[in-house]
Amino acid sequence: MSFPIVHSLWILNKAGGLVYLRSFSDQLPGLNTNEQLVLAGTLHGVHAICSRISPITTSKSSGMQLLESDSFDLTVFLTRTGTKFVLITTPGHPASQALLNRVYEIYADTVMKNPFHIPEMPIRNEMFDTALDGFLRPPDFMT
Amino acid sequence: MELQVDQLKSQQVALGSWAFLFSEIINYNLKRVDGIAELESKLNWLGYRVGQRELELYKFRQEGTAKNPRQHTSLIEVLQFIHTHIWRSLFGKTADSLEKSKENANEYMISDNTPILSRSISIPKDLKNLSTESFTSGIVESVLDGLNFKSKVTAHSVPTEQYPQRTTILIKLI
Repeated sequence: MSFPIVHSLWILNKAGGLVYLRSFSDQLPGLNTNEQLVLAGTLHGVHAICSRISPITTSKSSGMQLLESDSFDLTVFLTRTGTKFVLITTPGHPASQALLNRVYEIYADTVMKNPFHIPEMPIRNEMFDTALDGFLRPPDFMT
Repeated sequence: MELQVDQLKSQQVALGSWAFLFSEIINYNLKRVDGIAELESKLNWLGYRVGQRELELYKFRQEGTAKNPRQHTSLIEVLQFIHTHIWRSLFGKTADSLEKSKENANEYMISDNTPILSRSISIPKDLKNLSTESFTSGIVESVLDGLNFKSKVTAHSVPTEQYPQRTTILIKLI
C-alpha cells in the first residue's frame, strides 16, 4: 500500500509563466527548466479551454480543477487574481484541495508581504520554502 | 480584524496592514539609496521619529495623572524599561534578552527571537547584511535619547536554527 504523498508544487502567474516549482519526492522524471516552462504554459492553455467550453453560461466557470491519471492526480487551485497553484500528488490524495488552500495562505503571508518580491516574477523566498517543507514534505518513514 | 471593546485591544493594528505599509516603505527607500548602510540609516531615522512619539505617549497614558511620575535615572533602569515596557506597548510582548557586552563596557544588547515588525520579510541573498529591524533600533535610540542617554543603536540579524529571524539590537553609548 502506498501512502498519499505530495510530489510537487507549481505556481503559475496570471500569464501562465512558471514562477515557482518545488519537488517533494524523488519519484518524478527529471525535467529541465525549459520543459517545465513549456508544460506550465500548456497547463495554462488547457485551463483556459476548460473555462471556455463550460456548458453552463449563467456563471463563469473557474476552469480545470482536477486532472486524474492512473499514476498521479493534478489538482489546480485558481485565486481571484489569476495565480494558479498546482499540486501533483499520488492518485486519490484525500486532502489536496485543503493543502492548496493552506499553501495559498502561506503564500499570502510570506511571499506577498515580502518587500523584495516583485509580483509575477519567480519566487525566491527562504521563509516560503521552509514553511512549505513543514507540511508538504512526506515524513521520512513514509518514503 | 476583530474589533474589541477593550481599550487596550482597540489600540492594536492588524499586522497584515503593517506588513504592507512597511513593505512599501522599504521598496520606496530601496530605490532612493546607494547601499545597505544608507537604507538602514533611513529606516533608523523613521524609527527614531516613531520612538519620540511613543515615549511621550507611553508616559502620558501610564502616568499622565499620577502625582509622582517615575523618573528613570540609572541606565539599567532605562534599558529594562525599554526591554519590558516599550516592547510590550509596541509589540505586545517583551524582548527575549537584555545583555551587557563582554568586549566593550559601553555596549548593551537587546535580543528578540521573533521580531514582529519584520515577521514577513525574507532578505534576498544579495542584500544579506541588511536588517530591516533598523527601524526598531531607531525607536530604541530615540527612547534612550529622550531619557537622556545619548547612544548609537544598530540592528543585526543573528539567525539560529530555532529562530531564523532572531535579531539583536546593539546599543553603543556615547
